[in-house]
Amino acid sequence: MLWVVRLGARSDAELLAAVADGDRGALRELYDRHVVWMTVRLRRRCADPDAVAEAVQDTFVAVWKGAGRWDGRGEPTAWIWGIAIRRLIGVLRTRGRWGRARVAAEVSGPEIVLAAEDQVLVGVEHGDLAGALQALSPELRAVVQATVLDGLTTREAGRLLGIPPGTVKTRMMRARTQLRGALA
Amino acid sequence: MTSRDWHVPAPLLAQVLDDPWTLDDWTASSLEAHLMSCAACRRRLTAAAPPAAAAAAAASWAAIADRVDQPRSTLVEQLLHRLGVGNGTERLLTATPAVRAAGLLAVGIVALAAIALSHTTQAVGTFLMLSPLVPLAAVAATFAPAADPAGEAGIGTPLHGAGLVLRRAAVVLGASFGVLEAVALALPGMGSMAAAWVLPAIALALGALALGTWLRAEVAVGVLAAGWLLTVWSVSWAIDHRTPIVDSATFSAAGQAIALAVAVAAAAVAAVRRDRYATLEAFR
Amino acid sequence: MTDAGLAGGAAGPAPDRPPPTVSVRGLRKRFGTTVALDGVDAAFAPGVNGLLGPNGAGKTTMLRILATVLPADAGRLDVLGVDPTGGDGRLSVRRRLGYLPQEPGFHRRFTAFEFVDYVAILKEWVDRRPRHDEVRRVLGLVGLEAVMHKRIGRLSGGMRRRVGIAQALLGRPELLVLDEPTAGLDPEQRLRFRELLGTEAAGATVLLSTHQTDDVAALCQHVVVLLDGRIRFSGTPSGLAALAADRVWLASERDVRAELAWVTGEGKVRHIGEPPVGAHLVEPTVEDGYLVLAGRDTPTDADAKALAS
Repeated sequence: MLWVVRLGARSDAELLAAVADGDRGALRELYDRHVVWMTVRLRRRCADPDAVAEAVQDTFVAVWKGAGRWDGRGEPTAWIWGIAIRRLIGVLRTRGRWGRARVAAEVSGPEIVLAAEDQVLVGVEHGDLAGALQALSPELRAVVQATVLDGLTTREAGRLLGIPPGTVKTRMMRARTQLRGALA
Repeated sequence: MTSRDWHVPAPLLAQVLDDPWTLDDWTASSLEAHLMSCAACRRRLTAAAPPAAAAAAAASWAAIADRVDQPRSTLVEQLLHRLGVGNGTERLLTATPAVRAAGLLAVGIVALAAIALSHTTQAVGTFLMLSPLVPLAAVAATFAPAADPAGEAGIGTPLHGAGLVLRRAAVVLGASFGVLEAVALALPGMGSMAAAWVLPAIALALGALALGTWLRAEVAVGVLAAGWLLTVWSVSWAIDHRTPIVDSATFSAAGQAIALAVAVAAAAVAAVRRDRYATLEAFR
Repeated sequence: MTDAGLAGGAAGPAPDRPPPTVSVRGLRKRFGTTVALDGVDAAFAPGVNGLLGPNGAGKTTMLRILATVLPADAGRLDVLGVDPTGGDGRLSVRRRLGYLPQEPGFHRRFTAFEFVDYVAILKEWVDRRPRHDEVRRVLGLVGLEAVMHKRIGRLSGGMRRRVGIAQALLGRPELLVLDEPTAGLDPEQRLRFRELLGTEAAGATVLLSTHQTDDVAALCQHVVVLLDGRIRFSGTPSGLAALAADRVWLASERDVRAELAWVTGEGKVRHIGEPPVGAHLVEPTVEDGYLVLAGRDTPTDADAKALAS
């Protein structure tokens, strides 16, 4: 490359604005910054690596086309994640696969023992809720994760987990009851 | 240490990159939430990714770039694509902005005039007189200087030349003839004259291609349009001041024969002199 | 062949130059009453060949004729082994040509990518995927990857020039005809352009026109000076500089009798011609040689014949 591209330290928000302006280099930089965590996070929702890869591509194409729609409030990562999770749902729907999201979290492979300090701090991210969440059954936890953490609607959560929206609602209600009880 | 100073321990990064499912939900959710707001850990995560992942990411980017780089295509291009015209030809044929603008404008004007006049007795005559001007203007737009967005750089290319002009003219003529005939058939009182405008229109269009080897596009259009209108008016006046245009000899069998002869002659001239379209001279 | 003051250019290339790929003999072109080219003889070999001369000298006309964009009135042409005046020859040349006109005349609503892609279609790149790869490649060569999807109307003048350079590079042509390629480029971009020519156009025959004598000095293996439709010099840049040998002086003040003198960046006054009092001789530059040729202090025919190579 004979012309040197000056890599400034542009923030994600600046990059999104540049993408909205038609800057392809900015899209490339956003991609380089966000593709890994996005892939990891999506892989935790869907075991199919091809579907995840397709969703990642769809996401960045959508960012290219729709960067102008970001209102500039909140974290760019949250906005991008909102697109990514919905693209994943779209991909799962086109592939005709429902409920490929793994619900149970089985620990396999070597256990990593966190230092006590780290354990406490990891828990601090969710406050008291962390322990209570842990006590939920995997099915209930998945529903909480989809609606609360991923911000999906009942219908979208249903699509992702492969359960009818009604079931999502009942499980949310049971989760809330359990959590209320645990925190009381 | 507050949660602001906490960062994902390196072993945890490695574990989640290796297989995210080995984490329990609680740890994973915490990790995800942290990554959303900590750019430093996102960078560390990216840096810790194995080489295979980097290669996959590069390939994935190529697929994204391919979709992002698709040029915008217009409706007409998509239509031509459906009709089997592909491999970039549809861009060549329709990318000329002058063609689009001229075509839409001219057809619009004639259609409006036809509708406005459809309640008068002169509607048919006016239509017959004006409609050949539409393909004329449209064809001239295909070889006008503004016709090719590549400009002078485009002249030095293999596809530039009479062949391209002809293909563009064909598309433009096809489209305008189609629309005009539809308007003609919709006009009340048209009757058997519905196709009487076709041969004169062809003659004018071919005349434009022929004259274009000598004159600039705008001048060629002006000359031919003026000549046509004068012919129509003077022929009807010569017979009788009150003859409606539709009965004018211009559209009679004799007139059609003359139009055909002009068309053939113009085609011959254009064919012989077509080399003029290959270089800059035709642009002047 | 009537160009006096010219040796070697028409007779053939210097011994260490490869055989010419482009040659013209007796090239003439007029527009109405204006004579643009008045019997031009020249030969160009692979490498970078410069056309130097003021506006109206005929550089653009000559480049247009060699790029098959304009037909000549008279003369024998040989471009890449064929005669470009006929339809077949012209097509053959166009398939191996990259051309950057002085005024590209883009359609402003196209993005850079769309424009280069469109030219690529005109260059018979039929399949979309390889064509897009090539468009990306040439836009990357000129450093426009980041802005390739911006409308040309929104790009700066220098960027637009680079878009023009990019489309000329499509398909790695054997013949590159570039009319004022460095116009509007800042010094850093001109440097990159020189590097680009060195790598991307190695082995090709490059014909470029310029006003900038320092471009000629840095870039060209061979230079031709065109004045009033005639070739006044054909040779190496150092040969052009040598026309001013023993005629360039540096003094602290301007001599009132001096024909050609100007203040340099360091505050000294550079003179061409007779030495002013107290001046010292300096090495001539290409610019000096060009000024000697173009100004009133023109060398005699014998001088030029001896110096030009």
